[in-house]
Amino acid sequence: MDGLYIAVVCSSNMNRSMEAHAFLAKKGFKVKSYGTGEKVKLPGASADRPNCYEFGVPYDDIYNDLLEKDKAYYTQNGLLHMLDRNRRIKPCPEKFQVSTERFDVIITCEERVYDQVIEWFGSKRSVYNQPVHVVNVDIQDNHEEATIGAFLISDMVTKMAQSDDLDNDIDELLHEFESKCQRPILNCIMFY
Amino acid sequence: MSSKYHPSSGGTAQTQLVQWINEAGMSEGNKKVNLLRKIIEVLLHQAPQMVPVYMDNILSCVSDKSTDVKRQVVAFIEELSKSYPEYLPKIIGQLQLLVIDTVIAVQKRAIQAASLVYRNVLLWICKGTSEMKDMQYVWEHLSELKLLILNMIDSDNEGIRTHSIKFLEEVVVLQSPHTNDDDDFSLDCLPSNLPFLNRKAMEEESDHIFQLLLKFHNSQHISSVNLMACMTTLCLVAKLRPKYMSSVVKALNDLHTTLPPTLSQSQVNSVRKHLKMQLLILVKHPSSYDMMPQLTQLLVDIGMTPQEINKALPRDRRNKRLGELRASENPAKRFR
Repeated sequence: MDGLYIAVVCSSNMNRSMEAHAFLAKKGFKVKSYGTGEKVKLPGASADRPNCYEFGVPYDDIYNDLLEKDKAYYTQNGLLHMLDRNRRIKPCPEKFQVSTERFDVIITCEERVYDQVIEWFGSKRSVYNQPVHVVNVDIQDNHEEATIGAFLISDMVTKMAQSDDLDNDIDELLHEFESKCQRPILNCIMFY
Repeated sequence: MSSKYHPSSGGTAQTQLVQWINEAGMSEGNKKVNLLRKIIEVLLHQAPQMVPVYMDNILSCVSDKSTDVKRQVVAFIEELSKSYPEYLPKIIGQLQLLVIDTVIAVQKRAIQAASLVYRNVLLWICKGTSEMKDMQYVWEHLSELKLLILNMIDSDNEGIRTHSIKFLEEVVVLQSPHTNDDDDFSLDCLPSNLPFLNRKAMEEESDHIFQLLLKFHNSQHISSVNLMACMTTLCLVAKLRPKYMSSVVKALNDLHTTLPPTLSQSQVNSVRKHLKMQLLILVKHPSSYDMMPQLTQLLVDIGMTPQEINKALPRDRRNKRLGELRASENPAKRFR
């Protein structure tokens, strides 16, 4: 299937979706990434005090903010490195629910995000009747798992792109992928 | 070829269009698609007065060997039906050809466009600005098109089935009277004085198609994706046309008790989650008020606690229901 248009969605559009975005883009896929959360949340100095930003605040600004707050701490926990990677991919984290793009496939990185995507589609009526496959692959929100997750997503998207008729093949394709990756998959079809 | 085209007059636009049309005639594949895209853009948005002159050049690509070229023609028909419905008599036959094209991808795009064209045709008929014979001609072709797609719900191709479901959803909604105060199009909007339109027959047809969708939804050999597509469609129909609400809730209940045996465990999980999501969307909708006891019981059956259900309900329906739910909760019925 030529020109499959992919969205990768996690909660804050920082780690999991951006890792997969970078990986898929390098492989030449047409891809965008989003977050579904209320705010962009990053770990702070303590568990109960995360760093929160609005979607649309540039990665560059967040980088500089953390740099100013505690350069050594945020270098050590990898956040500055992640933000540096992100700002090379696109300017700022984007909220899924305000996107006007129409994708062929939306891949979510956790069940709660999948639910939010389905709720968003359920809250409005389709205008174009254009179908989109929504697929969830559970990925824990840490650096190592995000890397593994990006590999898995890339593998899945490659198989999707190789299909001549994804709508007809998706059930079987996801079934095979699930057996191979040993992670539970959720999927459904929604309409723009 | 310049992509920085800015017409300063109709003459310039015409010259450019002629050049692109000639070029497209000698091109193939992607180059032809890109040229067609530009021709359509300029024709519809910058030189609409030339649509009758050049539309046949685009429509003739309906038999092109490239899938993308044919999909581009579908996009043109779709846009034309919306912005320039007076040309509907010229394009409706072409859309019929595209719906039965030999390439699945073209068929799917054409069925997708057919939903929009269906709505645009009804809106155009309501305006009553065209000649009776033109309206009748378009309506007859559209009825044939509807029948073609209706039969495609049994296609061997899952994607064609999915697209047919979505098309039929639109037909059911458009051909049934509205009960809400929304300003969306419904059967009531159609004039009653047109000899070729029988509102009663249309409503009966809508009932028939709804029954067909119910049957499809509860069939034993449906794919998980189409089951979920059909579930979403039924819930949308129930929201917009509450007369169907009780049948839809019954169908969802039947699905919960008897899932298709062909689904894998993961597909069962996806379908159950989808059922829960759709029920939660339904339960929040004003149309579902009369069906609240059945809906909340179904939510309990699929494993939600009364507290979770109460939290999901609209504020004005919350506390009262919690007591009833507690009284009727039967943990044995919960599936996990």
